Amino acid sequence: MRDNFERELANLTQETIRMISTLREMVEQATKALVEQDLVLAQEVIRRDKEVDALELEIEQGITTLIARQAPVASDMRFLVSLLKMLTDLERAGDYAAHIAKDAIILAGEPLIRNHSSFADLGRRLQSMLDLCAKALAEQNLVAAREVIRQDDEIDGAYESITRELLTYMLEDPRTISKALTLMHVTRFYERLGDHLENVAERIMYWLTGKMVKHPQDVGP
Amino acid sequence: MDLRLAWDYAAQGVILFDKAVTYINPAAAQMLEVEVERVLGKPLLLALRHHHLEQLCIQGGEATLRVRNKTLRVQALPEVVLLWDETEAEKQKEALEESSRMLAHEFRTPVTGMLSLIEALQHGLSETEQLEVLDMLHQEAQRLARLVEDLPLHRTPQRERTFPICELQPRLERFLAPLQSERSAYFVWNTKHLIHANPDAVYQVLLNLLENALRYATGPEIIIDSDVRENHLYLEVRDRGAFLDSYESLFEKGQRGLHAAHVQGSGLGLALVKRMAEAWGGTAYGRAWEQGNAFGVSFPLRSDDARQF
Repeated sequence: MRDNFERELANLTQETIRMISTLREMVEQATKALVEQDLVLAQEVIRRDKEVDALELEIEQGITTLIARQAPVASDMRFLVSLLKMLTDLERAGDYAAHIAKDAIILAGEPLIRNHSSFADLGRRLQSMLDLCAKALAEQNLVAAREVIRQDDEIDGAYESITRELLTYMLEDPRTISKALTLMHVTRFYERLGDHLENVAERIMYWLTGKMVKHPQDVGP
Repeated sequence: MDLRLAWDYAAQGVILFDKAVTYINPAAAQMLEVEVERVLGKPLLLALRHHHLEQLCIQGGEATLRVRNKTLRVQALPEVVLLWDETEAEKQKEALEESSRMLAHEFRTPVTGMLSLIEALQHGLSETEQLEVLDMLHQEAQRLARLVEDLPLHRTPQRERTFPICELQPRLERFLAPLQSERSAYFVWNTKHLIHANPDAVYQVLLNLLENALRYATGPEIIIDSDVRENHLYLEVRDRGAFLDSYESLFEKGQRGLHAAHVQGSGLGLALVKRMAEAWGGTAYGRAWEQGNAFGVSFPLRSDDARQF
């Protein structure tokens, strides 16, 4: 009975890892589509958002069924509730990757107003955060979860710096306003995506420690 | 059990699995960044954390995949996965490809110039002009020969000597004459310094900077200026044209400015300038000046360098 329950928990974890892995690939592709102005890749990301949505539904159904059938308690219940919350954040993160791809389509074919390498850097940081989320979940690794929260601060810093730079472009040359505004949206999408991954890390920490982390000082060493 | 002991010391990664992970050797753990004891007995995807890799393991076959920013060659057999980390080999391959592109760019400029000189000869020139063109062709062919000798890449420029910068002026003027006339542009030389460097490298840098100025500037006047400040000699090419949005990024490979969108180019010229400047211990830079854009390089000075004359 317990073995069967453990197996079902492991399967749910596995499917969530699949969702994170798919999301990582979407972030990588959306960033490449933006930086290299690749329309085909951008469309692929938009299509793949549906995969993430489908995975969310499937895992959610698995969780509710398991709760109904097994009536879990204590840490098992905490894990299932955390996973349920994580799903929402991962699904939203997928939406933001698709938004980046949609804006990549708008920007494709037009001359760049700035070097897009900083977006490549944002993309790499988010992929690293996704790797750490998967590690934290698969290995019940608190250190990896803490590192996600720390890395989100770097994303926030990069967001502010790129936004300031884009504002300067708009002030210096009003012809760039439209493109700079689109790039501001893109920057915002990266930042929001990072915030959702931070939420995922907080849920993992709650599952592992029983304590809800909501402030940087709660993260610990 | 003995076999597993051997695998523990193998450089290639080995993972055994049935319905769950039963063994991961240290090499595979390092490649996949997993803590073995935490994933043993768990579903395969919890160790791999990469859905394409998991798919390959289940279906079997061979592929090269990017996993956790590494390039892994994977061979999936029934219930066994073998991994080879090919990240370094991949990096070397990319470096070689980049070097080939750089080389092609370095050769393309003199070869194009030589072709236009040969075409001029074919269309008939006076005897004096013929001699002049032949002399230029000879000099360019010699430069190409030296370029070939200086292979492999990343070698510190050889054949350094002290020479007046203006020594390069006649060759550059003559070589760029067709493009100059096409753009109705002219050069103003304010280069009165001596410099200790490889003349071929300085020639190549000026050729790239002047070509860029001829291609992208909107005004006819292009100024070549040298100056000494804080133990460095600065050699820069200034043009008159719309200010650029960013300068630093243009020195990266493949980066081209907004104003270059309608002009053919590879985006390698300034990357080459930067590489050469760094090879002699200097820097490459771009900046706005009162009437347009300036691109230049710096040379660290020795105590006996950079005398005015």
